[in-house]
Amino acid sequence: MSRLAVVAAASIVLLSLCVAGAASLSLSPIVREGHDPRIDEAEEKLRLAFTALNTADEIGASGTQVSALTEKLNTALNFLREALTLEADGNSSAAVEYASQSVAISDLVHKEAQDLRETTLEASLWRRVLLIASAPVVGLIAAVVFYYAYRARRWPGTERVLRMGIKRREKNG
Amino acid sequence: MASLSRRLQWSIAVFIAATMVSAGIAYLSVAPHKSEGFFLLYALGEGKMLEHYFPNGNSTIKPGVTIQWYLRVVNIMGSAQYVAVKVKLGNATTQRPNQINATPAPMPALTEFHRILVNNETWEIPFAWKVTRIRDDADGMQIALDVNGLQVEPTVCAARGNDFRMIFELWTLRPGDDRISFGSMSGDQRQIRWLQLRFNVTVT
Repeated sequence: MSRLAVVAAASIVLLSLCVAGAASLSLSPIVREGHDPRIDEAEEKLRLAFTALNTADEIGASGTQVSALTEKLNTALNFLREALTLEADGNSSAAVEYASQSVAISDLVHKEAQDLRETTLEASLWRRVLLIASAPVVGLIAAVVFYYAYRARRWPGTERVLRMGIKRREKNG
Repeated sequence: MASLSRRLQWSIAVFIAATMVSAGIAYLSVAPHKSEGFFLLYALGEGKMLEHYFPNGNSTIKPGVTIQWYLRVVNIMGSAQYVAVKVKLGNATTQRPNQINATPAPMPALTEFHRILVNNETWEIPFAWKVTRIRDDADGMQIALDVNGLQVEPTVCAARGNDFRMIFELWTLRPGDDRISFGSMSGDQRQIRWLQLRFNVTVT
């Protein structure tokens, strides 16, 4: 009886382990997608590179540099699409080769996009500082212009009054 | 002296006002502002015009006749975007993409086109296809297609070969997301872009 209980307990434990293992495998993106790990890595790297590129673009990076990086990332995307097609055709080795090339390009673009983001942020900061600092200068220029314009408008009248002499009015009769 | 003092007072007031106005303008010019962007998706006929989608203007086509279309996607989102166009085949009764629920058509994609577009870029996708095989039975007519050289066999049937629909859906990848999703996000709003072209297939 006790041996039966031990066997039953062991079976339950084993079954639980199997279920847990199967569940964890089904949650794994690699197993779920059914791709070669290199292709999954290529997809992940491409997404990261795109996010970095989009961020750099949204904070105002140079259009020329964004275009150049986008062109490179499209090359990585084409390699990845080719890898997926080859994998679907059953040509795994060629698919991995293409995926590896995609990973290499995406890594490069990711790094360059992050650098571009840093450069753009720095330039943007200096532009902000300069623009904000120019505000009191503009205010000062406006005040000085106003001061002298005010004086110029008032002076001719004052000068005329100061040059006035006293004249005796002659009475006729 | 009183006049000088008043002049100075006015000058100080002008200084403060001009500083505040120019600081406000400076802030507005450097503050990040999100624009409401969008995509355009449209199809052109063989002459790259909004006409001549089918040979001789007849949308009833025969097997082996190549149809040439051009799909165009324009990115006006304000930044670089990852775009995919999914092509699906439907019939008169299959569910179309839902504008309100933002759900795509339930059929599997025949083929997909992916590209990253910079802002204001127009992407032109040549789309050449033909019916390669027809199976006509009690369930309706089922067709096999050649799409840009790729053989595809959709499972959709159409009664007497009437009212097939080629559906094109725009999908995008949001930065940080794991996978592409139907439509695109503009602020908090999901915008759906899709189009369909109807055709009939005849054996004779």
